[in-house]
Amino acid sequence: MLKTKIKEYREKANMTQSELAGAIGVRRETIVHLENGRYNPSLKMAMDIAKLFQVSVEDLFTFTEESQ
Amino acid sequence: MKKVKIQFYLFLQAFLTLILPLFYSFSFSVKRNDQSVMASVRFQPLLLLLLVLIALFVVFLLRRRRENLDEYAKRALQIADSICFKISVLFIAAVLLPALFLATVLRVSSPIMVSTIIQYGKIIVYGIFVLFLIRALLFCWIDKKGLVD
Repeated sequence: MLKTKIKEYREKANMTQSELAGAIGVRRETIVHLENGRYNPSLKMAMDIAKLFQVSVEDLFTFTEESQ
Repeated sequence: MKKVKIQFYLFLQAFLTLILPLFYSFSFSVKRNDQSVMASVRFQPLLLLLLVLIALFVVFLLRRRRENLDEYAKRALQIADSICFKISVLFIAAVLLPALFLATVLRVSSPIMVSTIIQYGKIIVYGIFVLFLIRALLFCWIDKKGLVD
């Protein structure tokens, strides 16, 4: 399961979801789903967000194995 | 300039496909009385062409103002399209093949068969509209619920 710290970094950067969406060229709904863990982004989108917050992709996303 | 929401665009596409059933109903109808069944044909291809061109023009104009189709929206549309494809295959198997079978077994020239074919035509043109509507509804549902692989 992919966990994300996008919301944390976004709030730290004092950005709204719409502003973040505009900055990386996606819709606000996509950011909502990303933050809620209901969408796993492509590598490009993950790198775009990481670049925007000046962090690494690993800082932004953590992958945990789901227990069966 | 305010962008057009993808949902609005998809519902508009569905609404514009209503041209087909409306035109079909105008062009082909069946009149029944106690003794016979009569098919009435008022087919005007130029009118259909004009309506389709107007619909395509509206879709083209709004496409330029449509909201950015990002990767999430593309994925959601792909899923909606694949579900609609499966529905249409089922539709063909359940509606078109029996119609073909009937047309082969019965005589196509008989008035009852002509009326049956007209009814099948109606089902097909309304089916196209329903498919577009299902596509738009599925997209809205996926857009609300999210996608988890």
